[in-house]
Amino acid sequence: MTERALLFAIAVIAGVLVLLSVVIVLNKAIREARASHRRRWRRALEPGLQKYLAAQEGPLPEFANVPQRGAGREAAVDFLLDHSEVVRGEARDRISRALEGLGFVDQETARLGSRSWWHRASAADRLGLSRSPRAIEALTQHLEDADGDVRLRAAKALGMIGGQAAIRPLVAALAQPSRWSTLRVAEILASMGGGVESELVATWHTMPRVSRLATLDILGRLRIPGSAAFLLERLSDEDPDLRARAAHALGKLGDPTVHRGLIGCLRDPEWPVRAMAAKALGRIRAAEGVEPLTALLQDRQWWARSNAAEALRDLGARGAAALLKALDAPDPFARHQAVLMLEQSGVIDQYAADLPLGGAPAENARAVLKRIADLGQTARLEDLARSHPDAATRTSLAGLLAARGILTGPPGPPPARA
Amino acid sequence: MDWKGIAVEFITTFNLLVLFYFLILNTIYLLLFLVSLREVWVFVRRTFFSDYRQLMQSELTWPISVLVPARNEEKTIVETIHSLQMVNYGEFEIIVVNDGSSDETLARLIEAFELRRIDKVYRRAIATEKVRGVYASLEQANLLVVDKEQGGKADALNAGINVARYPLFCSVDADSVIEEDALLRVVKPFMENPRETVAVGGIVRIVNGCTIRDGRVVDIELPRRPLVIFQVVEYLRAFLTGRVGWSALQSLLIISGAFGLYRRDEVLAVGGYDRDTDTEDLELVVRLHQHMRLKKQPYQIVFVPDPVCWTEVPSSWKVLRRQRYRWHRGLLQSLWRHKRMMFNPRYGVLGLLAMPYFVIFEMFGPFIEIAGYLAVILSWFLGLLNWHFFLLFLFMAFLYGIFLSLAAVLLEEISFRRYPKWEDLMKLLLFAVVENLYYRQALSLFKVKSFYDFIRRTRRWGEMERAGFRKEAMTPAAQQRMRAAP
Repeated sequence: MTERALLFAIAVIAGVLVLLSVVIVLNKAIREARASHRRRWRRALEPGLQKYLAAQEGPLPEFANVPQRGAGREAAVDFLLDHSEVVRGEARDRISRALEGLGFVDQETARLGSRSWWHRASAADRLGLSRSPRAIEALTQHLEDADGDVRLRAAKALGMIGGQAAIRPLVAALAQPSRWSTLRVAEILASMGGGVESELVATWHTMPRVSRLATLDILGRLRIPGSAAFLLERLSDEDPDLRARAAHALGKLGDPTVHRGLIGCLRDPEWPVRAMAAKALGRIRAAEGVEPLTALLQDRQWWARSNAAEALRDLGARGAAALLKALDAPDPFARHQAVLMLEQSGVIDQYAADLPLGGAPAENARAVLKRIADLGQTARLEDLARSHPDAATRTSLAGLLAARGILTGPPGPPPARA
Repeated sequence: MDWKGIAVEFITTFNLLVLFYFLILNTIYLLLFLVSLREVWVFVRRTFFSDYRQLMQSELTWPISVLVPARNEEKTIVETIHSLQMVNYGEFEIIVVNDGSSDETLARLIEAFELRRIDKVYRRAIATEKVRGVYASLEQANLLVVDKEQGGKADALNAGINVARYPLFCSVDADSVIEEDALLRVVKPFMENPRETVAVGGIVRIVNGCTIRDGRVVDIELPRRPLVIFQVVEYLRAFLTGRVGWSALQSLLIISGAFGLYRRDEVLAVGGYDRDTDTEDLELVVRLHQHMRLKKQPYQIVFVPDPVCWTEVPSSWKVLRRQRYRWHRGLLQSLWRHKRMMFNPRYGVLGLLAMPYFVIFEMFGPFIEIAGYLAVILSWFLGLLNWHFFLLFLFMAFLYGIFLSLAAVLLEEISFRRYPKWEDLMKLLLFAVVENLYYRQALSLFKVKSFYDFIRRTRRWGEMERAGFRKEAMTPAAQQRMRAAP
């Protein structure tokens, strides 16, 4: 009995194995045969399709004999959809008309009614590529689809077809529960430019929090100077995340007149707001920010301190002067971060080069470099002492470091590249 | 009852036990395959609409710190960093941690990327061996190299976590090449579910036999050595049916050290990577599970089957043996360390199904298998062996093994199709059959030896002998394709 059961099991498994192998091989064979067939069609139709796109007028059949069904039609559709992403203007309109003429738009609009989410999403995607205004109505209906991916594809398709009609549903779609989806809609809106800003500002008060966060990021990316006033208002929002995003967006606008609002944020009770405001001040290069940013170097939060130091680095000579002052700050982090920023901005290299000059510049350089060496952050000084192209600089630096017991050997040979 | 009667009774009972074991194990495998089939199918369809390219440019995508621990990786390190620099991702930094290499790893990096020492300021959140210096690149603003004294891979990763700036970090092995969209794909679960996602693992594929140019895999081909092809089939099975299935059951225990993305704050909360285990990646994932369950916070640790990391695998039995000793020993160490999670309802499916599975079938499975072979010999000696039944059973076990491997090949063919050539597909089908003749048995023996090492508390890393990406011989077809490529 047991042996019979075993034999039965063996027969079943063996049958499944054969079936699996056949499925694997057939699947590949059919797929490749189809692809090859379609490639042949594409090669045959491509010259005519290219001519159609290059011409000013005339319907598709005048240029290429595209069959109304089968692999030939699919190859032509693929060609047109591929090109719709790279061409502009009249050629793009001709693609839309050709696709409409081939029955593609009607076919995909019908697929939007499919029970399978995959078919609906795919249809929305392809309709977007077709950029046919005939699809707008059907796509708008699917912004309420039960499936998230279908809603997104419909939103994206509407964005691609363009026009103000797509903006409102897309702004509404920012409220998607998934950050991934919100992010994709935000990307579509940011790429549409123009009228997006007014719709975002107009609907702000009715938006949920997730949409507001995305809105601030989109406004930052759009870089429309007119949105500065709106963003400055957001700096006093109750929600710290919104304040932080608004500060970030203001930094991206690059408008130096907003510095007062940002400087005010450096005293915000929430560290993300302080950190973002510091970063923004560095971006807009507002000289008025030097003093409050120097104070922020002693903030209790790492990101706020770090962004303040980087902002000072980006503020040029005045920032560098503030960083030099910070070498004597009571807070060790402020001192260390100041050294790192001076290093990154090339100030340490400049002082090292001043060492052999003599006179006041050399004295000044020696005092600064001694201070840095005393702080123990000597990586760059050691490198320069070993490999600076100028022998006098190497000797001076080596002496300075040796006096502190940091570099005991002789200065290194000149680097090969020198 | 005389001794022979006792022996007969014992062997008969044992044989029944083996039959039962075989039935349960293969039922689990079958269920895992069915779950994986569904997951992969859905994944492929959803991924089709992911807009990765568009997201690459988005500033809303979370920035990532990519950590590359490196010890004596002079042959591959520069190539690996080049491949990482070409990754499609908005904001990311690459932190290479040179773990006291005795070869030219650091010198190669300094030369290739014009590094210079900087006085980096960072918080030492996890204790590590002494950091000798931090280097920044003059030509690549997002590249940092941490040079430290040797402390092992876990210690190197901890040093990288200390220096990392961003909320997510990705661990990548220095002998690996990741695909250009890999970070975008692996970050997706974090973006979809930012509050709950703690860690995400990606699929690892075998680079031996492939051609790398400018840090990219430009020609995918199966290697020539049978041992490596066995591992290709094994990896397909382990990743596409094993990890996908466990991930769907919220019980993923392993995220490969070669490629995984983690939330930095949660990893810091568990104290970073553990230096006292042989498989720090597995240990970290188990501790993350434990930590999140104890916090009673909803969370997910997921496996994404598509983000591809290409890695070099052993091409000799000697190195393979050492690698598997370490892997299995690490598994045993973690299972032993977290034995309280076993059958503990507080840990859900993980405690009630995944952990017991690993103990019963991964830890003791090889013993039962080996004991089964011994029982056959003993049965024959005692005249108890029913040859007909035995051969049928053996044949069925063999067929079932083939089924699992073929199922993995099928999953690959209907989803990702990374091996596009007919020749490679045929090889995969052939090796899915042949691996059941001796490769799997060899792996069982390695596991038994690992158990012995575990009992004796032996710890050896087992150095990987690298061929280096560029040294891989190219087939004439590959050379032709290379020439034709733009």
